[in-house]
Amino acid sequence: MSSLASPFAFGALVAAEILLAAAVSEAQTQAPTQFHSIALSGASGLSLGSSGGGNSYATHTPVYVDVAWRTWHSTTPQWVTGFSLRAEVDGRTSVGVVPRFEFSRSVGRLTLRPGVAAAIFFAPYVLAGPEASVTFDLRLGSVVSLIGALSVDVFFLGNDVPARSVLFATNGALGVAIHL
Amino acid sequence: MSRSTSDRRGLAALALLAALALGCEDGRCVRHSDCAQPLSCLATRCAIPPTDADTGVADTAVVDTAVVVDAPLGTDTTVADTVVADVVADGGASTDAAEDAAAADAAMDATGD
Repeated sequence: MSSLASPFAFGALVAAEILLAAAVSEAQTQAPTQFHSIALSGASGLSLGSSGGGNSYATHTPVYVDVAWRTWHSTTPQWVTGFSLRAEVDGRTSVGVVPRFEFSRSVGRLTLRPGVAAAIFFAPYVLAGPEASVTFDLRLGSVVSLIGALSVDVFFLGNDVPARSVLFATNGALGVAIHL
Repeated sequence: MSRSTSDRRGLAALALLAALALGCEDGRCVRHSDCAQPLSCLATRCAIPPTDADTGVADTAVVDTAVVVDAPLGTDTTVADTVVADVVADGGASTDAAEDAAAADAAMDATGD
């Protein structure tokens, strides 16, 4: 009896070990993970100033560089948060921060991230307003990707905005991202 | 025909891009930081910022200094009258006070003569 049971017991043990190893492997691959990326981009576009008197004027947006950090969790990869450090480097020098919240949707190597943000320049003057954007992230490898973005800003707060005026800006950005 | 229209649109787009690339037209602005100091952006144009109606200090002070420096040497009354004229032209709230002061100055000069 025991001689018959022994091969079955051994087989059962091997099967159990295989199942356990598979379960552990699956658990490891599905372990909650926080992902991060750092992106560097340059941007410019069109700015339209509109004053209360009916005057409006359009000019190019001062070129700015944007260093963006983004993070998302493996359990909810569609929701991305982060912020940028932004600096205008064209005709003036200013710095600001841009906290953002995005929805991420991947199609093959391309990831689209529509989102909302608050663009806040704080030095040497204050210029702030909401920003809506769409970011395109094209994976070039396991770590690096090419990114582009289109954004629309409405600035109406701060001492850089003329009285009774609103500043609209439509900008395009191009850069690279590194996925950590 | 349609190609010609297309060409014109393309040229117009290029002209717009070139204009945007060149930056602000002189004196036009959308933000205060588009203007050289001490100018501010007023109704999309760089201009001297208006003075506070309660004090009228900055604008008046600059004009008065220029007048005093450029004015020929003369009596106190002449200088005071010139200052009053400038203040009146500015239309600031400080006009009455300055006018009174100048009138008093002139009266003192007349009395002294």
